[in-house]
Amino acid sequence: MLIFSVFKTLTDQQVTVELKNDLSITGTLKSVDQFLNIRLDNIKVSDEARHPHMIAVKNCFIRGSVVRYVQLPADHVDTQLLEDATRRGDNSTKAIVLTLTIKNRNAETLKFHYG
Amino acid sequence: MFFGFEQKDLEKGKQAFRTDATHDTEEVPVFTWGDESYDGLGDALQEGGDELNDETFGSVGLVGKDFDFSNTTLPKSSGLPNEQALPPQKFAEPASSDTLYALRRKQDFTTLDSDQPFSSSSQSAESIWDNRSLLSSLPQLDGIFNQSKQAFAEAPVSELPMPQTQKWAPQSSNSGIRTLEEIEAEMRAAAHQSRVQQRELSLQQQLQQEEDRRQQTLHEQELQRQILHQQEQQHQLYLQRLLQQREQQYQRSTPPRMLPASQSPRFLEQQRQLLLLQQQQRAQELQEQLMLEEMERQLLARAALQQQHRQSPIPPSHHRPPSLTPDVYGYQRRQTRSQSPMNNDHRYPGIPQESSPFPSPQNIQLQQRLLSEMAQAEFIRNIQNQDGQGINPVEQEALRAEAMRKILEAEKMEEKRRRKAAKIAYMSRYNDLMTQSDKDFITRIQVSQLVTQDPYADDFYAQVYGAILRSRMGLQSQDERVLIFGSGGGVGLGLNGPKGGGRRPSAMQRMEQQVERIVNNTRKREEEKGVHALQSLQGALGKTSGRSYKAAPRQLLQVDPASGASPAISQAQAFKDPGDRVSNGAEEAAKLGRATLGKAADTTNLIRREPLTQRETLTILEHLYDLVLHVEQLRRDHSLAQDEQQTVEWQQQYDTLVDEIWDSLRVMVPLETSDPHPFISLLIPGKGKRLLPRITRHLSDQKMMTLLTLLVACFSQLDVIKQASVIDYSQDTLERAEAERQTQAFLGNAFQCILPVVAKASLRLVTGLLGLLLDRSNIIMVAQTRPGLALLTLFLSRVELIKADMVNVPEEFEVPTPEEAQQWQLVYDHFFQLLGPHFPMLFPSARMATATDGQVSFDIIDQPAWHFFAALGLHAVPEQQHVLITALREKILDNVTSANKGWVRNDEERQLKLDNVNLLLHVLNLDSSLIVL
Amino acid sequence: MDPSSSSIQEPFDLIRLSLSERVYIKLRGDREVTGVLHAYDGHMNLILSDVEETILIVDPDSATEAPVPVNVAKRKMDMLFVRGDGVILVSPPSRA
Repeated sequence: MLIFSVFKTLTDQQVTVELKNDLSITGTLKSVDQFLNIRLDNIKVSDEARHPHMIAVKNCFIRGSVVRYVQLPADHVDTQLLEDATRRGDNSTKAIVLTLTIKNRNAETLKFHYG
Repeated sequence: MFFGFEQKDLEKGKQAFRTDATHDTEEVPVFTWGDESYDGLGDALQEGGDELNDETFGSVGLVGKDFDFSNTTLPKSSGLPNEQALPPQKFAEPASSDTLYALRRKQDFTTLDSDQPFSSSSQSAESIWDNRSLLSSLPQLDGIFNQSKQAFAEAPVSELPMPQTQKWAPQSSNSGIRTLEEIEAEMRAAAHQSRVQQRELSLQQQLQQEEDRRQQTLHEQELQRQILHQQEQQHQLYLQRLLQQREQQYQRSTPPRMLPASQSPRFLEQQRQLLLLQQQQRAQELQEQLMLEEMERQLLARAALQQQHRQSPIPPSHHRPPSLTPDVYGYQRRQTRSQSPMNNDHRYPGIPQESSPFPSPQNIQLQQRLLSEMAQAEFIRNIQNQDGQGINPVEQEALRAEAMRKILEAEKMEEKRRRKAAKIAYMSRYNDLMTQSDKDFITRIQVSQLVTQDPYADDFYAQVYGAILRSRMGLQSQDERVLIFGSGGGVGLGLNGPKGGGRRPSAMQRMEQQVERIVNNTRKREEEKGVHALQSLQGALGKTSGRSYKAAPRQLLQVDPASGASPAISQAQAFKDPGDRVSNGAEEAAKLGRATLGKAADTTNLIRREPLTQRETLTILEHLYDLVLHVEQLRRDHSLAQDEQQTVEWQQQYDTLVDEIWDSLRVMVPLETSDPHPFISLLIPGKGKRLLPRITRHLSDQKMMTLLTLLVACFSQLDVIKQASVIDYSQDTLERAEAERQTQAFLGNAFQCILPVVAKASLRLVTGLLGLLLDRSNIIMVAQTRPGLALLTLFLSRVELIKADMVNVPEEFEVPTPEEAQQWQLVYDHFFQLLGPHFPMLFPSARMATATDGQVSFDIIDQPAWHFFAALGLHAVPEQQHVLITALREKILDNVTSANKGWVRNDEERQLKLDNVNLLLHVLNLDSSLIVL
Repeated sequence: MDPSSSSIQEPFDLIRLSLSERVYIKLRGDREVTGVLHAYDGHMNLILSDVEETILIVDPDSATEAPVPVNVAKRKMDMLFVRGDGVILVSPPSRA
């Protein structure tokens, strides 16, 4: 769920999805689901000569399992927060207990810790 | 037990195995597991944890309907409608296999119960009938239900044998379930009156059910909490009731109608099935026995009567019906029919109602009563009809045939019943495989996949990221202001700007702002005083011209580079005090600094250790991160503490955690334990540097003071100091990038958290810290690093602020004693003396000059050094200022010349060059514009 | 308290130590990646920054012997998500 959570914050950002068949697609991330299936808009294939059939395609839905990499916009990733989220996820039972009481009104304090 | 499992006692089995193995090995080799090499270790195994086996696998071997997911897994709220009857339940209900019969029953039920206050008859009787597992949801129902059920159960059954009740008693007694159902329905009816009116429409009912299910989902969480709370009590209650029941059972040999109104569904189900089966069997046996007895009795009676008739002429007084067989069922049916005309059970005369799978105590009682009544009636009729109607052998034969038919029928019924029971047993063979908590667990998982109750648990990143983004947008204007003001000195070389940086104004930026402010203030002060610092510096910078000195004859001094720039001479001039006195001062100051460290500085009983390994460091850091996350969570939860006690508890928890963090930081480990000190080791990985500010905001001032002192004492052990020279290579290597990253991390995080401590430090402490640094570090090396330069600048500017405060607001300020001031001056002099010969090398550009491709803007890189010199100049006596200017003369002139002659790429660079120079010159009450080339 | 042995029990605990540190990752398809590890999950999905990917282009013709990397292609990426099903190993940073 962590990675899913991260991708959610990257919607409407430009990403490059590299598939396991070496097809590289750059486009605007429109949506993502828990399987990390990805929907891209305004896509452009990096090596169009090798994949001429993709030229006409303007948007696509990529099955999560065929993805090798996704290049993310570094400016839109908060690495410290990411590490904290990973640490929380690592001992998830603890995290559940810990997070049960967080509510939206604590956004200010969260900002204090991470902002 | 009808479909029970054999009780397997593990302990007993083991015992048996032991005995056999020791005494009868030859005869029963199978117990040695057929292996000579069996080491017997299996016996040494300590088997425990069997206490809950019964709980898990079912204690009496009886099985309930726990695998009945349709109803029991999801907890129900009170007054919920029946679930739609599901196929397994239909099977589990033998009678319902006969649909027509069930239909008839339904009609019966509807008619008979119409006078009941609770009319659940609107519901499909079948679904009610089939919904046995509803009982299993009893624990989820709240107390009201239990009470009402109890009340119902306590209604005395003993008054049953009234003629009117006879007709419905067998039906209502067919299941205790239905009565529970009715009660529940009654409750529901009370709760949802509107629904009762629409009850004829099953479609609507389904809608309602769905609605209820929605409600159920809503209340589910609360209910589960209730269940957990109740189960403890209920368990006790259940045991009590079970005991009572057993007693009653033995006394009356009729099971109580009241089923345990508590405990987990599994127990209820088991208990109920057990009772039902027992009743069923008993009823069946009783029935057969009664029939046989009855027939035997009648035959005997008839034979006797015939004899009597032959012997005595007294006419029999009663009429014999065409069929002489005592027809219990027929009688019942007739009676039923007579009272409920709509009852059309005569269409199915062959099916006795007693074939109902749920004969109850009332049922049996009733049968007995009916039988006795019938026997009486028969007797009277026999007497009435006796004359002229003697029983001939044909009749007797018919009677016998009839009896045989009845017996066969009964046997067939029995066979059918057995098959059904076997089927139930087959279907329920996996019952009780899961405990209620297992099922709850799975339910929770399933539910959690559908809905996230707490977005922070699963979606922590996105939620917090969003919150930060929103708050940053709100603060954007402020952030921009800070960024513009902070001249970019902290952004580093501009080669690898920090990713996602600019989140907080860097410590460096803040400090540089402070220096700029101080410089400006100093300048103003000097101007007000009218002190002409220029005179003492006249020779150093060559030709200078000052607007402020226009009145005076312009001094055009062409300074001979050789005369002024000799460091040796300058130094000799600069220091009035003998050198040894200076170093004594530094030592004193260092002692002072050590005092702050307390016992950490104590070198007695010191155990030297190897420094922490990389892995140890990382492990400690991850542990610290756990603690910090916990503490931060606690801080967020603080607002939730309502009363005083909670606050106290919270405070205790918080303090404990902070103490643990403090211990894990290892600040109090003796100073000389290892090199690097464990605390410094923790600051070597990037995440250690980034962690520090998140820790320090929880630490007390005293602890922070200690931490700062330790950091200063071990400053040269830091990786950012040791490996700083890598940054001076201009090749873009991995090591260099890494060193750059670490330096950024240090300045942006670790350094940031000592800023406020120094900002509050007394002159005495700053003197001590600088002394400690001089004492324990190679100050020349430290000063040639960005963090080192930053730290020194911080100290110098703090002392300048203290001096300013002494003048401006002495009443608010703890004025340093003259001794302290003198101490500072001594340490400063020592510092100046040590560093003096290396001033030009403090500019990173000077160190990098060997291999540069011109891509790097030296002016940005050098900015921190200019700030340092400005701060240094503030404290310098005129002789020292002269040394300073002389040492930097070339650099100053170079900058001014480049700016003036346009040897720059753009205006920005030109301005930067001049700004840098002016930063220093302003301290000396000079300005770049005064320099005439 | 022995910090080195007390808390590392599972493989993921080891990976956690590398959080925020540079790691080396071997992937399917003769690929290697180094980068700073910022996130991982149970599927070994990873998010790395300052990534350098190395692709070993193996000559398929030299099938007679052990395949020798004929060519090495490298590229750099700022921030990269690596899908876990391609990960063969994650190695903690080498001791410097």
